[in-house]
Amino acid sequence: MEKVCDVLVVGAGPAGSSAARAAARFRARTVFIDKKEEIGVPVQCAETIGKYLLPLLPFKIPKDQLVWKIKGMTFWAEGIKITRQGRFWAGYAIDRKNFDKWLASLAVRAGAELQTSAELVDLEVDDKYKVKRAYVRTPHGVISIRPKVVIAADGVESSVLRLLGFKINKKENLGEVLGFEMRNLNLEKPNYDHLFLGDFAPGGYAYIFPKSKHAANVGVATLFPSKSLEEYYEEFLEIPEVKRQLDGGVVVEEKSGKVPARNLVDRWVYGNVLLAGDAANQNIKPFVEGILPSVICGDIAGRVAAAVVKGVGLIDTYPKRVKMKLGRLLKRSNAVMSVNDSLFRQGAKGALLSLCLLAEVVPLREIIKLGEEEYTSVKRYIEDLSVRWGSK
Amino acid sequence: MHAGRRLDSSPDTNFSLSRAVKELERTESLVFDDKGMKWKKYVTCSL
Repeated sequence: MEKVCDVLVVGAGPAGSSAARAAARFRARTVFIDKKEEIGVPVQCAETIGKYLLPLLPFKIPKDQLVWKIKGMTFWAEGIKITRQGRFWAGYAIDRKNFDKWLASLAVRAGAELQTSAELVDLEVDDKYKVKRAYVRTPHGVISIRPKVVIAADGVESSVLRLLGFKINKKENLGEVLGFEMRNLNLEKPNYDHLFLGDFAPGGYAYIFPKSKHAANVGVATLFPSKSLEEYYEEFLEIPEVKRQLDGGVVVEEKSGKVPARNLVDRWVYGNVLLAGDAANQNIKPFVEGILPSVICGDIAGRVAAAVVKGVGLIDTYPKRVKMKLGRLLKRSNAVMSVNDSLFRQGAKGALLSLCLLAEVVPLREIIKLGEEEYTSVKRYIEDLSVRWGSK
Repeated sequence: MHAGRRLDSSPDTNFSLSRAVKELERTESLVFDDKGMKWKKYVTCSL
């Protein structure tokens, strides 16, 4: 069986559904597929969105999708805690199972055709990365789809990229997360996301991200693991402040997965293929906030794809349009990442400096000066700062 | 307090930190206003 469409979107997460919605709204015949049987399941995410990105969205998120308000963040390193509010730190917890289904329903309502349990298994591609046919395995057999444009919104382990011939260096480009949803917790500040920096999360952070007064996503996210994530997680659980809050807690769901740390490939456009979301490393660091950037970039990808099939736009305009919207934030994001990578190499002192960077409690130049100090001097300096920032 | 001896940071590490921080400083001005407290208007503009 062969199906013909204008735009084929692979993946029905935030990027894919947003792309499918946009393409369908601009009257492109759009098919979006997901290998999962149920949209949004399993959840592989800590489910927090930054409030600062809401004005950039192409549509409003209804209040019932914002399940818990986050006023700010606490940052912990070497026993020191600093609390911040607003700016990058305020946001909401969402429930990805519902959120992803809601987004997919927007796309369907706009006219896109959704096929679940549909796994991309092969691509017929010319030597300029132009996809001529996509082969998709469904419960009713393999079907071929002839698209004019393909949007790869299939995450960090993108089948589209693999089938285009790219070999992704997972060790260098992807972070690993071991995470769980826990309930029955004694959260001390349930309206704050809690980040923990130290050698239990090399190059990343451990977290307690509340979803309600007594429930949270808890986990470790690391870029440079030298042992198993389970071991790091056990070390994290030994921190008295963590132990206290998680004592008596019950794990109700595992939400582990991989996150993009660096670009998987050099470009966002190959032939008639546009990359969006995690496959394109479209997230804002240092917190690797990927949900809303994926919605924003997916929307742009869908609009560009529709314009291309209608003959009123060029596919190469996609990166420029993303950069017009998110370019400054993405540039800053990459720069934060470089600083954080440098700090990681400095062990315990690096964790303290990373706290200064993420919580923005010292001018940036001060971080360079502190980098030349001994651990004890740095710790004393930040302890003094925590008196100012700790109780807010 | 900045006269302390380097313990666990090699000159190379500190050089790359210094370079990375300078780049971050540059990008900060793209996102925030001069005082660094407010978003620049055009950061959150629509297409």
